[in-house]
Amino acid sequence: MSVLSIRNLSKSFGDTIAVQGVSFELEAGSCFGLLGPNGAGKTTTISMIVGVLKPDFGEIAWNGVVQQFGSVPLKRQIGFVSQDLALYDELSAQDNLRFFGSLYGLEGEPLRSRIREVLELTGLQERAAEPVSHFSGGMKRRLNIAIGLLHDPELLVLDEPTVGVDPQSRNAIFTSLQSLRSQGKTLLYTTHYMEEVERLCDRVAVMDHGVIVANDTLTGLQKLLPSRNRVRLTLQRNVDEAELAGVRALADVSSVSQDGQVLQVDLQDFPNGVRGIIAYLSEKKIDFSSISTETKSLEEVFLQLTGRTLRD
Amino acid sequence: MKVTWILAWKDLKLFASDRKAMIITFAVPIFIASFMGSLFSNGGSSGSPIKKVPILIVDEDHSQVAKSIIKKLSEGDFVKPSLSTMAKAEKAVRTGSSGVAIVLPRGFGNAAVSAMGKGIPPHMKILYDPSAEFNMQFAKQAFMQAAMKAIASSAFGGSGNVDPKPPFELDASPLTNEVEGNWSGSAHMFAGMGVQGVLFFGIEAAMGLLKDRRMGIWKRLRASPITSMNLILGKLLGSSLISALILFGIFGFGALVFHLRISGSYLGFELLLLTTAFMTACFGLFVAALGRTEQQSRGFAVMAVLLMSMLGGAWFPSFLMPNWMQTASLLVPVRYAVDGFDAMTWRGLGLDAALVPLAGLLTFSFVFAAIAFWRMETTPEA
Repeated sequence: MSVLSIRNLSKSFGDTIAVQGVSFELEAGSCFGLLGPNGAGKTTTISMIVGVLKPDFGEIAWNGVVQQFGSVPLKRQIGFVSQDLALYDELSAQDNLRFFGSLYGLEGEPLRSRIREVLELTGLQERAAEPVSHFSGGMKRRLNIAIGLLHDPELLVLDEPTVGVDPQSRNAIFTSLQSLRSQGKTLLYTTHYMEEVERLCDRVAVMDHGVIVANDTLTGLQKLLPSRNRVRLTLQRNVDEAELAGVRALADVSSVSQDGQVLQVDLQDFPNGVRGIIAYLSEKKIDFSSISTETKSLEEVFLQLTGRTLRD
Repeated sequence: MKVTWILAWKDLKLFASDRKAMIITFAVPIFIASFMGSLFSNGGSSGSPIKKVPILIVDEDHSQVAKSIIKKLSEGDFVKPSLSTMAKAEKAVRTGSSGVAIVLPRGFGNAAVSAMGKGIPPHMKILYDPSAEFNMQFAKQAFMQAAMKAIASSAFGGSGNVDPKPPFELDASPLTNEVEGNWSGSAHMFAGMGVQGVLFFGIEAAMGLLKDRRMGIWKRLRASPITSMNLILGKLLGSSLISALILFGIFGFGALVFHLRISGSYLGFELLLLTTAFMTACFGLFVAALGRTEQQSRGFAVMAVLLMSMLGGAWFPSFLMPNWMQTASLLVPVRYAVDGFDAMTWRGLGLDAALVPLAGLLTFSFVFAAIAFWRMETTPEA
């Protein structure tokens, strides 16, 4: 069942169309990724969903009920983790949490209890009393997420929450998010790092120039590519043109290239394709010393869909 | 040398890159110089080094001598007399709308002429606003000169030596509601600098809000389940409380160290303090709503505060300004705050004298807040 339905959202700033006709659905307990390069319209879309920016057109429905812009009941269901480190540096982590928690009507023991829980989830309990100005960038990112979680929202909206963090902190953030997923929370996650989406999300919308160019599961998106898997074999000898043409002619092979004794084959279907190659090499008495495989990434899906890379 | 020039050129380019900041850098000293210039210049005319001081004349004598004195004063270079009644003159001086009033009592002319011989010198009065002592001295000298000539002319037919001792007694009385010791320059300066100081806090409050916006905190606040009105009212309340504390501290220091007293209405003073604090908070919100970046807004706001302080009489009492500037000063909130605090402290006026300043301050607060709210509701980045 969809908890959040976005229908035909559009927003312009003067003559610049930032978002045009964006629609997607979020299933309860799922993680939905919004993938696109900088300037694709992800943050504008998110800002409209969390009630910061009024859409020019379109509607947002929560559990099937269309919400007015800035709807307070909707805001209570959403935890927002902005791209910016929206924290008061002068205050301690605990005081930041106390302040933002009280905006959601939390007070007394329930607030203290939630503060303890989110500090534990983000691994900041030891540093809770310290001013945020003493924190590393990664710790600030985790506190940023903790604030979004404080009121125990049904949906957590994360706008590029790992920008500028070190790998260790990124792992800590991912552990926290995976833990949230296991608790049944719904996540809406924007990023331009495809590996984050691949690791966390089960459905992805690819955005470019303010529109959604594809919206599918990871597997579904990979199917958009002519070949989804690549096999690399290190051969014992060079193959000639005729043998290369033989590999190319095999079922499920979409392309073949050779670099010295390394043969690179792109496959449409992995198991059948690999089986066919091994059988062919065996028949031609071509031995190989190693074999490696890789699945093509969303980066290549994006390139296929838009003609440019995510970091353009 | 080349490297030195490259470094210098880079600084010039950086300076020119923020055009608004660059313009403000030039505009602030130009504004201050223009203000001071208008205050102290002779307006380009030759003759008197400064402009004529406006004074009121209460002629209860109606003698030829009195008429002659008034005529000579009008023809002179130093004062610009206007006829008034005793009641109106007292009110004008007490409320500060006029700095000096000269009272010629009944029988003054005849008594003064006879005092040139063996008669008893008559008494006459100069009423003055204690903050206008300089003007009073100026008017006194002009009056002495004109009176001596008029009286001598009446007594001796316009010839002969005039006794340097004036044939009248002159009492100059500062006019406030308190008996004595109310006025000191510090009383006005505490009001003026207090209001200017608190407006500078208003700028800091605006910078805090712009910083919140730059850091994404404003966005997070707007995403929370509170209305825009809640957010704005919260900001206004916080800034108002801090501004009120600052004003309380400034006037408290004035009371302890400079013996500043509230000689007028305590309630009026308290209401003015709270309303000035609220106006400051609204001004801060206004600056934040109009500005895009902290750097840009700070320059603009500092210029606005300096301009408002100068025009509003925070630096000099407003009667020292040219007429056009006094009229223009009604368009800045500082004028109402300073006039109000002056009225409640050393002028010793009642609550009714606080009503116009309160209305002025509330009007400005409303305008600032309304523009800020409109801008925040209609501009995504505000």
